[in-house]
Amino acid sequence: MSEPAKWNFRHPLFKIVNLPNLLFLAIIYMISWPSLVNTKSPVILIIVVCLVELYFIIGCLIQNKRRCLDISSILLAFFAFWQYSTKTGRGHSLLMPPMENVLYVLYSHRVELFKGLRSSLELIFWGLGLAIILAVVLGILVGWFVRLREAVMPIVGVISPIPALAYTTYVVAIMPSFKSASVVVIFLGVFWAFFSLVIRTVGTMDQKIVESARVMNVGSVTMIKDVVYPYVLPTALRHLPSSFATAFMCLTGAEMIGASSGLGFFIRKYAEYANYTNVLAGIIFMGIVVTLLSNVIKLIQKRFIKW
Amino acid sequence: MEKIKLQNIYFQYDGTNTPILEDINLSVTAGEFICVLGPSGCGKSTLISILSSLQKPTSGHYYIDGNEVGSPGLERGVVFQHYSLFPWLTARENIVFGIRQSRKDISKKECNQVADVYLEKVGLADYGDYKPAHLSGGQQQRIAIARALAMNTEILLLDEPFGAIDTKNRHSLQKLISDLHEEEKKTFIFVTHDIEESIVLADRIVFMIPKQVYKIIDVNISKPKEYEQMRNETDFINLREELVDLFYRKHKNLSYDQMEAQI
Repeated sequence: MSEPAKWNFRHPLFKIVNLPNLLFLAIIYMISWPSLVNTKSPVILIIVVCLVELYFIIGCLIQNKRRCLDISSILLAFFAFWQYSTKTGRGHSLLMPPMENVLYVLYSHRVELFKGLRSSLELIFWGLGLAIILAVVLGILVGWFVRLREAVMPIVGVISPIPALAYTTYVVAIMPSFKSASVVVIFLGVFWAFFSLVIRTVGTMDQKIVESARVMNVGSVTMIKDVVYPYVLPTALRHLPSSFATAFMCLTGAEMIGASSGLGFFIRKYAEYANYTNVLAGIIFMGIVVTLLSNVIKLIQKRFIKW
Repeated sequence: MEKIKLQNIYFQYDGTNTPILEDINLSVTAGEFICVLGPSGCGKSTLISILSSLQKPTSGHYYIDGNEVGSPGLERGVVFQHYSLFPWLTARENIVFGIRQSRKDISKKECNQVADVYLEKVGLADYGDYKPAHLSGGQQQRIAIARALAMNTEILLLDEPFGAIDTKNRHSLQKLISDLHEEEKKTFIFVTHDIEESIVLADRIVFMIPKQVYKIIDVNISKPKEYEQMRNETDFINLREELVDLFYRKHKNLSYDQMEAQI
């Protein structure tokens, strides 16, 4: 039986005639179409579309990665669909604003967006940091001592599945300031799941490692500090990006209830004025920020966890 | 001088009625190389667990240098069948970790020096900065042996350490362990189910059948012993035949009395 044909991204014909290139040209062409609503400068849109095309050219045509073809195709298809819908008036002009306008907001409101980001990150830093540190320290202790683990795990099992958003209105109401309420909401959103994870990791620790340490007559402090902690670290770091996303979600929820700054507040404020152009820009900005920071965490993980 | 003494050791897991070890009596002289040989499931590894104090005997007494033993101690180093290095530490750091447990007063620099000496001894002087994931199984076991010896232990307990190693590397590791025993003059207890390995390494072979020590055999072959040189010698062949015979009887599922009657 013959093998299925493999992609040849370096084929001269493919380099010119391919889905991302066609979509790219279609989007550029559609930008020149007259718009039914007032549009801002398309420069930001052109930059974004060119960046995606560049990602395709470098990743797929030069480095031969099929993944880059797929990702750029999806993104450009989405942009093309959006552009076509708004230019032909098929979308609701208020709820589906032109893409140029949404992306232009990222530029025109950059100061406000970055100010909001700074405010959000500050709260995340405290909430997430506190939750992770306490979850790791307490999780290791509870996980290591069997009696403590058996007593605490059923309680954690009840609390950890409760979504943090369920606490949000209550916490915002009882805490003295919005800042402290946000920190508590983020803490609750991240802590229980992380705490439970660390306990389970310690509880199911590879017995070969434990025995290996025990035969060296390792004391409790050394065991926890030099054996259990490094054992738990990769698992903890692996879950950090998802915890970060959860923290952002909790914070946004809290900011949409009672904040006066932050990215969640940015979205809520413009939603109240029915300015969905800015709302969509805020959502896109948030997506970019969470993705970038999650990738930074993954890079740190790769740098430090090499086993 | 008697280094290790096991007296009427019984062992069974909590909540079960089936003993794993029954009435084990063994005396080991300082500097001796003992191989515990027997078929799978006869209790060899449990015996090592008791000797390393990872398990406590249900009854009986265990003495080292005349003192009763109840918990793991720094006078004993253990090398397991499974690879037991800490994956987050390099080969050198693994050895240093062991040294630090036994010698608290030693400086970091001295620790590294001692670790390098032992890395050299096990033939891995150039691999000190490698993480275990980047070492082969045989290399990992060499590091584990180096770690146990660098702790300045008096007794080295090895639980089928070459069980997962290919034949070629196995012979070179046997040579290494034999040389280290000659050099360090420590007491080695080595568990194996490989008959030839036990003859090559041991001063005495403790042959086990399920739950019991069945026979203790002196290996009267002069050292240094190497498999390639020995395999055609009469003493080696005779001893191997004797041990094969013991295995064979076991596999026929004969009772101990029946075995006794046949030997």
